[in-house]
Amino acid sequence: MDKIVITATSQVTEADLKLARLGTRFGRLDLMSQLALLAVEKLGVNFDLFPRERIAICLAAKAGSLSTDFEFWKGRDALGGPSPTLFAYTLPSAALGEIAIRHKLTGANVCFVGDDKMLLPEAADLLQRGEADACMCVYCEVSNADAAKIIHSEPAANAHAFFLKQG
Amino acid sequence: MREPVANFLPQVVIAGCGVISAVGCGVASLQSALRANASGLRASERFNSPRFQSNIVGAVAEDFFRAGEDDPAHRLATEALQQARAEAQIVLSSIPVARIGLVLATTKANIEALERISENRPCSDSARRHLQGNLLAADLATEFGAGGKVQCVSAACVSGLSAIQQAAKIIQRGEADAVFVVGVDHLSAFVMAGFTAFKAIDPNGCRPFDAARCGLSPGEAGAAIVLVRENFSPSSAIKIRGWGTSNDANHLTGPSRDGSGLALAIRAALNSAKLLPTEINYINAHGTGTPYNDAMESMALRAVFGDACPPFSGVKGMLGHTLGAAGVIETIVCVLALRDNFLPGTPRLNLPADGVPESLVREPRAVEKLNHVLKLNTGFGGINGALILSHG
Repeated sequence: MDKIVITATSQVTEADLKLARLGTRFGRLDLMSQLALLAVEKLGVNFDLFPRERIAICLAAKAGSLSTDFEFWKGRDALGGPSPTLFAYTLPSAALGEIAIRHKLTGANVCFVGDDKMLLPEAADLLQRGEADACMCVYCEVSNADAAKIIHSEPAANAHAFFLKQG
Repeated sequence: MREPVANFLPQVVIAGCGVISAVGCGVASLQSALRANASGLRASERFNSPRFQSNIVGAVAEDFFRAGEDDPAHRLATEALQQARAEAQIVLSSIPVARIGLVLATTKANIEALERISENRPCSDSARRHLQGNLLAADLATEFGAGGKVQCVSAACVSGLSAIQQAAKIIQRGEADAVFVVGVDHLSAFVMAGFTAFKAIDPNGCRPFDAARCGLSPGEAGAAIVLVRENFSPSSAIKIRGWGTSNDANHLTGPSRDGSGLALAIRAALNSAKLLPTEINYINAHGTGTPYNDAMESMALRAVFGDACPPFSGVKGMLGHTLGAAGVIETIVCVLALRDNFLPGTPRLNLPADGVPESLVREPRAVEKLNHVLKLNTGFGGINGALILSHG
C-alpha cells in the first residue's frame, strides 16, 4: 500500500475572520463557509502540484447547517420572503462547494454530518482506491445560540483542515 | 492516472429495497407507477399559500403520517427500512449485528422540528434530536439492529448516491458485511420557501427535459437499500459496479453551463467499473426540470457518449425532487429496470427540448436485456455523482 502523508494542518476560530483578506465575495458567505475557506487558506497548499480533478474534498460538519437553518427561517415573514442567498447555505455541502469554487478543485467529494473522526480514514481510502491523488479535509463546528440549544453544547465557531497526499 | 482498485475489492450487491413516495408505499407501488408512466404530483392543501410558488408537490398519502406528526423524517425512514429489511431478512439473519452498518442520506433531516421550535408549537425531544442527521442515523441504526459503522451523508441532491458509495466502501474495506442505506427528506414549509425564493418551482408541476420546463417540483420520500458482500447473496443479485463524484467548481447553486463536471463524474464511474460508454444500456438522469440543469445534463451526456447516447429518462415528474432520498429511490428505479428488463419513461414530458439527446425515453418499454445501468445526480455546491449498477 502506498504511503499517505499529511502535509499541512490548520485551525481557525471566528476571531481569525477579522483579519481574513479573501476578497469581496467572502463577506457574503455564511459563517461555516467563511471558516472552512479560511482554514484551507491557512494551510498554504500549492494546488498547482496536482491536476485539479485529482484533488478530492472531504468535509464534516458537527451540527450540519443548523445555525444557518435558523437564520434562514427567521426571515420567513420578511417582505419578499426569506433570503435565497441564505437558502443556498442551508446545506453543509455549501462550504465544500465554496472551497471547490475558490481553488477550482473538481475532484471527488464527500460531505458528512457528524464529528471529525471519519475524515482521515475516508480521505485515506479515496487515495488508496486511486479516486484522488490528494484530499483536502475540513471539519467545521458552528453553532449559534439557537443551534447550541438543540445540540446541547456551548455556541461555537471554529474549523480545522488538513491536506493529505500520496507520500 | 492510477489504476482503480475497486474491481479488486469484494463485490457489493443489493439484497433488499424499500420505498415510500408520492406513488405509494412499497416497491410494488413504484413498479406499477413506472409501468404506467404515472405521475404522483398533486396539488397539496398544506402548501396552498401565496408564500409558495406552487402547491403541486410529490407528497406521500396524507394518511401515512399520524395526526400532529412532529418527526416525519423518522417516520419515512422507518417505513422504507422495514420494507428493505423484510426483503433481505434471510441474508441479514446470517450476519452478526456488529457487522451491519447504516448510512443515512438527507439534506434537511427532521426540519419539521425547526419550524415547530421557531413557532412555539409542540415538539418532542426525539423530533428535536432528529434535526441532526447524524443522530437520526444513530437512532435508526439502533432501531434496526445495525450495530456496526454509522454515517450521515449530506451532499445536497447527491446525498443518496454518495451514501450508496460510502456503504459499498464500508463493505469493501471489511468494516461490515451488510449496510442499510436510507435516504430521506420530507416536504416542509422551509424547503418550499427556499425553492420559492430561488423561483425554482414549476407552477404547473415539473416537466423534465421538456421544451416548456421551468422548474422543479419538491417531493418527499423514504427509500432504503440493503447492501451486502456478494458471498451473502445469490449470484443473480444486482451489483454496485462502479461510481464517481466530481465538483463543477463553478457556481454554488447553478450547474456548469457545459456539463464538464458531470461528465467527469460519469467518466470516473466508467473507469472504476471498467466499462466503456458503449456498454451502458440505460441512464437514469437527474432531470430536475429546471432549464439549466436539464440543458447541462444533456451536454454532459453528449460529451461522454457522443451521438450514441444510450436510452435515458428521468422520473422526477413522477416522484418530485425528493432531495436526500432522490439518489436512493432513483437507484431503486434502476434496480427494477435491471430486474425486469424495461426502460422507465419520463412522466409529464410533452415535447422534448432542443439539445436533448434523441434517445430520451418518453414511455416505458420492455427491452431484451439490460446489463449495465448508470444513475446520475447533481446538486447545490456543484457536486456531481454517478453510480453504475450491473446484473450479477
